[in-house]
Amino acid sequence: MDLNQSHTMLFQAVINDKSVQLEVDPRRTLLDILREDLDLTGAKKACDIGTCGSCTVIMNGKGILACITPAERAHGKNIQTIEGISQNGKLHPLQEAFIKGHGFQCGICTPGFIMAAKALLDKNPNPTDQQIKTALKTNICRCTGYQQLIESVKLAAGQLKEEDIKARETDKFRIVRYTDEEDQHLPWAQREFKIIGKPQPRIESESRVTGKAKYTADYKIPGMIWGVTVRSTHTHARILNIDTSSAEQMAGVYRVLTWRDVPGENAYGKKIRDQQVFARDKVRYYGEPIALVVAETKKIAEEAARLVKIDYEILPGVYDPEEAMKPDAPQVHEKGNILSHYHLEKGDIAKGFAEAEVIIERKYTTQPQDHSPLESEAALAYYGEDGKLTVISPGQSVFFDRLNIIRALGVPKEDVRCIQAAIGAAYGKREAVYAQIHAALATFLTGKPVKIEYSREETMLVTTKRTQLRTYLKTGVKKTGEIVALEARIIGDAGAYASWSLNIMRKAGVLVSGPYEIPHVKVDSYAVYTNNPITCATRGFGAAETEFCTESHVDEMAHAIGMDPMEFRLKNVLRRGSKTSTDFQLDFYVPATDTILEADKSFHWREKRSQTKVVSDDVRRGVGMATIWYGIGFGSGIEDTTDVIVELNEDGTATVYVGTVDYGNGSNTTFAMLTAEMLGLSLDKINIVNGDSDRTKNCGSTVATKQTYTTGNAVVAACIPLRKDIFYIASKLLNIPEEEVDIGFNEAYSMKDPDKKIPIASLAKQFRQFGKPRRREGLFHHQKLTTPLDPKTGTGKAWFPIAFGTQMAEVEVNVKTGKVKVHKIVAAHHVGRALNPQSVRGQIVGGISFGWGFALCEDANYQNGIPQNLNYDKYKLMRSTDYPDIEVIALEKDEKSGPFGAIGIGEPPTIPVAPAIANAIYDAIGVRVYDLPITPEKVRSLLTL
Amino acid sequence: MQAFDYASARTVGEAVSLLTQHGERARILAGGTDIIVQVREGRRSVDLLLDIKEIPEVNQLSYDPINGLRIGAAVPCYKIYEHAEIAAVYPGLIDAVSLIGGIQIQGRATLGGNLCNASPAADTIPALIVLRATCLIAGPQGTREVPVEQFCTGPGRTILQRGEFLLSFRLPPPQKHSGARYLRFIPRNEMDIAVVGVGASVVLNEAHTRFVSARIALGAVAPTPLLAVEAGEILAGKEISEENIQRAAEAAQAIARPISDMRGTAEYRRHLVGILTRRTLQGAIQRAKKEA
Repeated sequence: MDLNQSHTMLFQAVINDKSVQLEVDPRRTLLDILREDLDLTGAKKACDIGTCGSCTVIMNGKGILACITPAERAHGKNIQTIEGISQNGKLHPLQEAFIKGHGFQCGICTPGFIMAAKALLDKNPNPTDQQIKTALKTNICRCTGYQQLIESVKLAAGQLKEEDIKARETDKFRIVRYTDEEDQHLPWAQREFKIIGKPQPRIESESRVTGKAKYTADYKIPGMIWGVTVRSTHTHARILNIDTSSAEQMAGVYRVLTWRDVPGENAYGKKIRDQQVFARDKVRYYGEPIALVVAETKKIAEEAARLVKIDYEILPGVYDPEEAMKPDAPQVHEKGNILSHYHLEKGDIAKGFAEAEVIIERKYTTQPQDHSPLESEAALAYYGEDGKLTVISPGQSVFFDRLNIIRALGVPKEDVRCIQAAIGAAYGKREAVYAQIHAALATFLTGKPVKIEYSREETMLVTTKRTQLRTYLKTGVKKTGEIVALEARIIGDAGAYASWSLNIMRKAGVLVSGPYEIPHVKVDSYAVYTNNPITCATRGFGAAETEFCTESHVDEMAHAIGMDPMEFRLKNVLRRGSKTSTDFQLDFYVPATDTILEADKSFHWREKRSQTKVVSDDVRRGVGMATIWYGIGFGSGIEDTTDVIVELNEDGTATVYVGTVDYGNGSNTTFAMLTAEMLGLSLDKINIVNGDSDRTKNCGSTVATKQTYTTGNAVVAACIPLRKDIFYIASKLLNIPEEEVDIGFNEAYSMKDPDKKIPIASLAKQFRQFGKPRRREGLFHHQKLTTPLDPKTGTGKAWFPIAFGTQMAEVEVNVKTGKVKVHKIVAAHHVGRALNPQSVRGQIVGGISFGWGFALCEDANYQNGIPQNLNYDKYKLMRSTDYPDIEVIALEKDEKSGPFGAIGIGEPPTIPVAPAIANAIYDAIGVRVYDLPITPEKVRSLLTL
Repeated sequence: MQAFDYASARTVGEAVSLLTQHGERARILAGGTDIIVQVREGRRSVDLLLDIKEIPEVNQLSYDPINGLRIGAAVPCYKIYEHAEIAAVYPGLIDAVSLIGGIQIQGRATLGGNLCNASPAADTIPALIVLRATCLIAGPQGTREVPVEQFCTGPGRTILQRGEFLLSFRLPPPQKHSGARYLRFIPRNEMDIAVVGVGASVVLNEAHTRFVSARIALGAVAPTPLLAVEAGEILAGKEISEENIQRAAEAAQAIARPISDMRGTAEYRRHLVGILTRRTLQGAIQRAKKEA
């Protein structure tokens, strides 16, 4: 019998074909040993409770979860990790397939998926689709929506060929191109593209499929110490005393930081800086930071954190935004609970309702959705070799991080450098700052490298959520089908601090009218403080929440006047010449109608709608649709300048310095493609330098679906003079007129005589002699395309460009249990131009999976201000066994102001999912759910069967 | 994570003596899929984690038509459903075993662990109950055998006394004309904890027109998985009809004592008990008819 009280064991295993011997504590998990002792950080710690699969490794031939495997259970075993599956520098076929098949986006879940897929294929080289889904059901991917991921496995199994999934038209994806007379005059009208429009693998692919990509938690620095946050255990309380003395006395503790230690401003935030670096007099939400224990190890810091004693005077809390608006409600902030009010008035609302023949009035509610990027929050601060305080984190903007850090530290911006690590996605959550300031401050005060890593539970407890809304919507319609009036009152739960709520609720107020021409509109949209978690930008914010209401409502209007919902939409959608709710006249191509018609071509709306509803005794089927609009960029004239540098190097490569981060959305690949296209280079010649506040100019943040359009335009702007100079120098060196020159595949050549050619590399070396700079700046002022909204009427040019899309859904509803299964979704979205088609497809399918969860099951589930669903056993994300049959249509019609006509696609696909599903449920069973998520129990409760 | 000792036992005697020494604060490590998380999250206080994998009795897996099925407490789920003969003879057990987690969990999670966790929503417990499974428990006084339905005493609590641990399960060979089914209701297609789970087993007459006997067990509707005695007894000797099945379903609903929580309200759960009892009975009947 071995009774091990020394807490060490000799751990022996063969890991990636190498014998490993280590003294370890047998209670530690295999995951910790791999990551901490062996520096094999490809296996990720995402949920740490065995629910997400990100730590999957193969042990004695079986896929297992390293996070719940005690060291003792791995002892003596043969273990293979992602780092061990490529042989002699050659990628494993699955790794190749995940690159070719766009089987990943942010990449944090990818090593786990590849290992789970490997365990499957090793045993069953020719699995069925269902076997693949089952084999992968333990693994969560938040980005891809599984379609391309499963295709990648099939690619590796030889069941699909690369051509099968990359064609411009397959049964899962088609690109349809619209053109008109105007398009003939576009500068690129006659150009034959060499890079763009063709499927390109992500430029960071290899690092993602091999596990080499370093996410913040994967970094280790010699001498690194740890920070652990002491948090409020009340939602609303006055702090009477903070006693750190016991914690400070613990061996191994360096400092315990509180508001007293903040040298600069103890405040941060977006527009309104009302958040506290450390709470001083009052806490306003559960988990608000009060102190940071800095200690030699994480374990010591955790133990010391429990010794920090805080005396509170508990205050009554307010958890419902409508309650919070009442005058006698507990006041979250001194200035009152109403944080913002956006008022919109167009036409004469009373007149509109007087003209209406049918009036419908409903209340809708939407829930706090957790963004759930699979990477937990983390930050690492240290003094770099240049002596600068450097902070690595997964933030969505290194410049926003830096701004908040320098204010708190009271130092000039030159003293701080923020760097993005590889980011395990964001979806808006990381528009807010979490551990960055704390880590920076701890390093600033101790001089040591400090790392902070939140657990999954801490992450989901204290990070921001999607704003929950209460929407009162009233519309008037004529029996002939015209919507004549729309009135909305929207109350948004900002949570305890302002963060992005002003923008969110303004956006909600504009977008609630939907993609329709409505003469009389009145909207009041409020952001209200409560003692709930803070809310922030979330994929499709202001739109996913409100257009669920609008599109459900539109469906009801159509039914009320006996018109087919598709006909009703076609009659009312915005078109060329229409005026939006903010009185913005659209004197250009408006794709709303075409997205409906294209979706219909694949879905066969009328035919499907007329089919029988009865599938079996218990099951009914139904179809539903939704058409949406969404603004690209900040809009409303808000400052949004992007500043990019492109340098043509003398070796014939180019470097793009861009300040925004790529958190899996694929923007870096897009920028590389644009540069390669513009400069006649192949994609492998492009280097992207990004997410580094010292090496790039400020490009704002990766948000608002604006990377392709806004930053892409700046990249093109930087390339234009370089391209011009390449043509000029080529014409001189080849001795041909400039009109005869073309570039591509790393050469400049004569279009008439292909023998006359010169490598771009040789050309680049001549720039100096010709007096041309190889480094160019590209600026794009997105704010110039929109106007501030009128403070009285709320009208103005709210956004440009505007994205439109239509989705049609087919569902089955079990009338006995209320369970809804989504069978098919057809999604047609206008993208301008699909620069990287498979990436566009990935964004759309991924967006649909995000919307599916919002529609059916994702809910942070606040109980008196405390989110209850803190890990993936309770917080339900789509899994491989849930994903419906999805068909994507990328509708191309060049937007003349976009880079080669592109407008972007990140957020819009999330928006129509919930209303399309809700409308399909209505079609199936004749009842409607007004409160998201649509759980089986809610559906069942509406049925009287 | 809290500090605890770690030990590995090679015989039943070693395990019993260590468990006797440490009492309630000793926990068994079998597959380890739950205990690691429970300890990390502080949901279990543990002084000693006792690994029993080296004990031969907990690893046995054998079936013969006379003695039935013996499953060691530490046998991982996949070994059960990948065993062709067992899968063919006990499809009602496979229903439940193949539902636990995903592939990576099933490689390690054990039937014994699922029972000893004593979760009211555990999928395998109702399936075991309707198959008349018994638990062989080792302890200071030797071994004792108890029916599975008597094993759990509350959420996370069992009848195990100081020094005792679960050694194995015994399932009698299925009778002629019998069949069993387990179904659960979850909001997604897979990977959720049961909102309600129902197991049913039936023995039919030779003509397949009547029930000889039936057993129905419910999960997630009481502090422990329940054997719905009356619901099963109602069917004994009765004709196979929608009406009788409905009566059994109502009896099952009557004994359910669900609570309202984030997975569902008591009312909804009681409703689901009715739906699932009907479905599992129908499934069990179908299997029984095929058996013959």
